[in-house]
Amino acid sequence: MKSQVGIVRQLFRYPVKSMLGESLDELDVGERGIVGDRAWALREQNGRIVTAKKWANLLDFSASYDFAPKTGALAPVSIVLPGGRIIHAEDADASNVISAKLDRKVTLDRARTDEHSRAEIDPETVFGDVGIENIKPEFTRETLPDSFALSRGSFFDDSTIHFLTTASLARLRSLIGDDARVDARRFRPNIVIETDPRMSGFVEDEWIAGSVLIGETATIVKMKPALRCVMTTHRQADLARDLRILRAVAQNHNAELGIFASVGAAGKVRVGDPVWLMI
Amino acid sequence: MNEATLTEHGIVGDRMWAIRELDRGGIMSARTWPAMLRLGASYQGDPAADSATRARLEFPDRQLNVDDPAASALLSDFFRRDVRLERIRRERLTEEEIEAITRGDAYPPRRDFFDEDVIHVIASGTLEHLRGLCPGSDFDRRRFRANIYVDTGAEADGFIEDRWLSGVLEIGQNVRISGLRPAIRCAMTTHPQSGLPHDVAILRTAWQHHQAYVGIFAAVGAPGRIRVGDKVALLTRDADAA
Repeated sequence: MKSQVGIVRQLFRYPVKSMLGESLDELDVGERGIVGDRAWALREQNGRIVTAKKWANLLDFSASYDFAPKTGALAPVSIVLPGGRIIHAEDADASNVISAKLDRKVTLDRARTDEHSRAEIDPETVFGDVGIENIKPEFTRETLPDSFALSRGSFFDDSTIHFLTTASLARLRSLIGDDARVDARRFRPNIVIETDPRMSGFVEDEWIAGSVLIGETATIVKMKPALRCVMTTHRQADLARDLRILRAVAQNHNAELGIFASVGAAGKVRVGDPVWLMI
Repeated sequence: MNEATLTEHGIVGDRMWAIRELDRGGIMSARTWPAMLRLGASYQGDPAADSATRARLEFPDRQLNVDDPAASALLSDFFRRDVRLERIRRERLTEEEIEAITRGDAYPPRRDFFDEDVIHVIASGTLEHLRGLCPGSDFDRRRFRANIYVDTGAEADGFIEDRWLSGVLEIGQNVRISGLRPAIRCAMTTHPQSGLPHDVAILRTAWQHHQAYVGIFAAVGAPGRIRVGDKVALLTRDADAA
């Protein structure tokens, strides 16, 4: 059965992992995710990837492509540093300039096809003020590893695509209160789907068994609930730090919001495109 | 100038152009190319009010518009090597530019030409203090190339900006300068320029008495227009809360 469940409201791409990204009218969905998404990341001296899960100030940096990247021909990436200066990721001294801003030695690296890196987390803070036992009952603060393996061949945490719906955001807003800024940007999705206003609640739960078609050709498959972390509570741009975000997701929905998924078929997606559920 | 517009990316029009040395491909700085300080550049109008306003390049013996096709050739003559003038680009690239960059035939246009932070501020009292430490040297403010020169009056008992570091500067009604940090100096402060001699004592004095820091680098906390004569206030955390 095929039924329309909404339209594309916002599209995002994040050229550098854990930095703010760019909002776009059109995205190129490739077989291995959005073309150009998380193409770069910062690496610690010990080889591990730096994320805003551990270093919230990465969200003070923002990255965008100078022009649309294509598979096999990535475009230059401009990075706005905290303080307003703009550099290119390709600059010979980019790693040094970013290290100076972060006050720690890091290297800005491009993802390789044989990438199999781990990303660092701080078990003390990765779930904000929500107890680890409430999110990962099999672990304690003492036993939770301080790193996790990224998706092979990329800098993705888990899956190649992340989307969520306005229905889920509205539900979360109603749980926390009107003063909460439950903004899609906190969850760093690629695609925000505006669902029928009559749909309410965490509607993606009903979609997991199926697949999603966006626009003419792009299909999203292998859907699973997206586990959230402290990153959703960090300050970014005009959004203040708000620990209630993760608390409410943990208390009401197993700390899951939105969907991690893979690409079934590639294609272009545009803001306004219809979104179909096939189940 | 008497007025300037500040955005999150600094003073509108600041370091809009630079010279690229084509042999090695680097952007030239007077740090290593002291002769650059024999050249001048100024806008005809206000780049914040009129984005089409042109900058004039001033050679010792002539002037021309910065977008004059002859400019790069004249500069190459001046430096006796191949150089090219480049302008920052914030707007969309053309299809031709994108193709050239993708082929590897062109550099992506730089988004800015700042070496450090987007704003540089210096206090008159600090220069006065330096004069006291080394009376034989001319601590002219032009040696430090600040964007904003704050007249701190007769007070000259130290490196005044050190007292500002944990605060925010408010200029006029609305503009705020934040993210203050000490500005480390280089040989550029010692180079000769119009009316000022070569003087290594400038940097040496700064190094001996203040680890080579003079003035501050900073960000624009709140954008807006500032004017010569605007009051500059230091906001500390306590004052902000009050």
